[in-house]
Amino acid sequence: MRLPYLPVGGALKPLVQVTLISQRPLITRALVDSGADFSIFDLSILAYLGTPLDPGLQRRVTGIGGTITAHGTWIDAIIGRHRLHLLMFFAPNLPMNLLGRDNFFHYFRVSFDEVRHEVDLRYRRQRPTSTSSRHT
Amino acid sequence: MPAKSKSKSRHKSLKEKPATHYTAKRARDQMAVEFELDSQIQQHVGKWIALADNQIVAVGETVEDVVNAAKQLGYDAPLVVHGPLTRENVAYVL
Repeated sequence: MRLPYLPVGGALKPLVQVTLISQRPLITRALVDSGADFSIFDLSILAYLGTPLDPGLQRRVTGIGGTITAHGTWIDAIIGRHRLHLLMFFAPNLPMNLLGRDNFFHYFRVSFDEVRHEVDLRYRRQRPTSTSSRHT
Repeated sequence: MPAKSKSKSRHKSLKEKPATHYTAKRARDQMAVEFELDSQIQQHVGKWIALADNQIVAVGETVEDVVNAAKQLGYDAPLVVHGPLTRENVAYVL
């Protein structure tokens, strides 16, 4: 599916709409980020969903702003017409939710068109196991 | 025979053109709405924002606050986004 970039602060970015499934589902947006090792969402979202964290899923995450500890869990999500089982980490005060390579990019072959401002997500029927799930 | 084929192709073009134009126009209109919404979102620094029907329906401190406020207005499944962390116009290198 080809999705148009969406504006954030006046600049177009590859944002997609994500429905997070729990007892209290939530619709939000996240940046498709090929540079992110994992998907990482704001901790306030987890507080709303009420999904318990997996104690075995804890990572130190480094960005330009420094290093933080992020806690993870597995969450079902819907993107487009596809239901995904996503590994997600959570941390406070993020500028943006990120969909990173492990394991969002296992579901889709992702390509960015910076001229047309579109992100193309091609769904894969066969996927590798998440790197993190091998450790848990 | 040539007249018939000409008419067929004219029929096809009449059928297809409006749909294409409609999709492109709809995409442009939606993008204009997205830019307008984005400029409104930028005003709510550090807040959570619920969007529905192409407008901001609730602003609050937590996700729960804005979802509940949106539900009270009859929007059961709002799109929830976070406002910018700072008033400065910054680029993201994540």
